[in-house]
Amino acid sequence: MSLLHFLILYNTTTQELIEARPLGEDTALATAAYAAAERECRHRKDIEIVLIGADSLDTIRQTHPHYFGAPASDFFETTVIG
Amino acid sequence: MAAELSKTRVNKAGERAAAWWQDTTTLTDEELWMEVLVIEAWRQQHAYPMALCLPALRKWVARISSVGISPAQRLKRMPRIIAKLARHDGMKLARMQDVGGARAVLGGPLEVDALAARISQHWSIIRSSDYRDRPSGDTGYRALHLMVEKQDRESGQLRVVEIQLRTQGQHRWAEEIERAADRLQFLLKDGLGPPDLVDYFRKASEVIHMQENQIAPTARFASNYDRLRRQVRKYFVTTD
Repeated sequence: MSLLHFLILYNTTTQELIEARPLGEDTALATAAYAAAERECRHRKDIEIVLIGADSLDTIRQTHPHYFGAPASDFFETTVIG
Repeated sequence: MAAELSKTRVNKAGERAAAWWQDTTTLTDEELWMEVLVIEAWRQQHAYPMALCLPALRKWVARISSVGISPAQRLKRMPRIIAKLARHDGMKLARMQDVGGARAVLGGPLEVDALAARISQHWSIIRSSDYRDRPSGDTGYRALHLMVEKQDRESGQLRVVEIQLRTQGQHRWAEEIERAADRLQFLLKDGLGPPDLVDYFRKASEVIHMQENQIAPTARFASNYDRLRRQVRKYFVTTD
């Protein structure tokens, strides 16, 4: 199973995923694209950029779900005693 | 730059970028740019070591985990690297443990134990941070972090990879604090925000810990937690 890199661009103000850009399997190219995107958006405090690698984008939806604009969490309602 | 990067130069870049972040020094755009390039190169040297860890982690997680979530890896964001250096006075960039990180989410504490045992059988763990029973800092973050070293292909140097092992409950908590931090625009992950909300996340982490380890809460804790929940409900009510 391969390692696929995705560049996640996320708007922290609107809490919306802007893009999950597939960058393929080449780690050096992916990290170069990561640095370039960070530089390009360096003045945008509302945009969070992160390079995540996994076997699929579906995996990243599970390991980093808050980037994917998941519906309101039931955490508060379900984290109860008794 | 990658192959000839010295730790002294890396640390200097981290110090100067952190001082700039805190407004304790003035750097021209060009000077800041040079420091960021050094930090980027240092971060880059963690990418291949991190990628080396994932296939084995994937195999072990598939055997051990009951939740079917494959592991993932991430390279730390530049703003988080610089902010962390600025927050922790005296921290050296070359000693930062989580520039490259992998994450495994498992069904519960026994599965975390099993994966940790498997990792330690196969790899040398150079350091560990066990936040399972005692959470990290002031926030309530719980997980087991195991640090291993792998060789970078370009520089030939060993670089640290931090492997985060989380239960499903710990993962839900960590993701919820990220969501709340973004929604409310507080740095909750750093323990900053309204004291009742910070306290709520700390205690909610304890509730999850007790549930996952079959520990009964005391009546006093339960009562305090219920009161706190009522107090912070306002932060979780959506208006749409």
